[in-house]
Amino acid sequence: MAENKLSEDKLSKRQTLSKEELSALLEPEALSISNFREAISGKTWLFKAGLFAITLATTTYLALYSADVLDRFLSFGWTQHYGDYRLHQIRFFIGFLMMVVLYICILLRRPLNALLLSYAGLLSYFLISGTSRLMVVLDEPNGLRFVIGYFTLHLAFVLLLLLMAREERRSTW
Amino acid sequence: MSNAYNIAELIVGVFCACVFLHTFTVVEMGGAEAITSSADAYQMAQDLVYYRAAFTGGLLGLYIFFRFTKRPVAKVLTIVALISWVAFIEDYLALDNIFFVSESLTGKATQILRPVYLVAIVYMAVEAYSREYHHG
Repeated sequence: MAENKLSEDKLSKRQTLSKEELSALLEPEALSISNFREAISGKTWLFKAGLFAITLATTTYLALYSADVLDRFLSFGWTQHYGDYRLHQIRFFIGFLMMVVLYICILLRRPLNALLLSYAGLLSYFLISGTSRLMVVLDEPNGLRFVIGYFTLHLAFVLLLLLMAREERRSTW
Repeated sequence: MSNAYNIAELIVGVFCACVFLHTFTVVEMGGAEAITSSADAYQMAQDLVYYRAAFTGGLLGLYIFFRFTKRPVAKVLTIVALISWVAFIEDYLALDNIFFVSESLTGKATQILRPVYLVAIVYMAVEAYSREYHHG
């Protein structure tokens, strides 16, 4: 009888965690580049390929914008309106922010599906408003070719994000 | 469904009604020329106002469809909230609020309701997430 009580006490003691154990469990995982490989190890190869492609494309896009190479191709280059210039600045900054947030979420192993779908929605808004703006400011017939190129490039970004969102569901985490 | 969520839904509904009413009023007044003072602002407003209204309206239409067919709405609300906030930032920082600088009653109503709408749509997205993903 006494033995049983003792083992029950031991069991109940084992089920409670010490303060140190509890704080160690509740402590958020350290955010560092070193665990990036581990963070994406649970993803499918298609997700990884999509992430690589979108990172490369976005970085190239941002680098070209920073070097003022893109200015003549954007609507600001055609219209010289200050509003267009500010709009580009804001959208490129948002693009950079989106990339940073995506990588932080990957490192923290957060669910990415909603984030990627939100990005796809936002890029669709940029795509529609940007294309409609270009269609007004560009001249025919060279303009039409440029608008098709612009539309296709941005649509590729949206499709890549949707592909990544689909692959995220198939990933282990 | 909490009362606060229903109130937020009502705010979003009223704001959307104001936007559509304002858009139609502007069209009747003679297009974007009527709501802007400079030529630059006129051209930008002309290009963007209809597409933006159609895009956000389409997404909110999708929300209504999901709501009535009892499907998860959290992701649609998140996308709408994100686009609404980005559009708000663009308006104030780049476009100098050109869309709603108007003496019309619908323009003023839209301008007053916009910050309330932005808070309401974020609340709805957060509430929908906690309902659909944390509480089953």
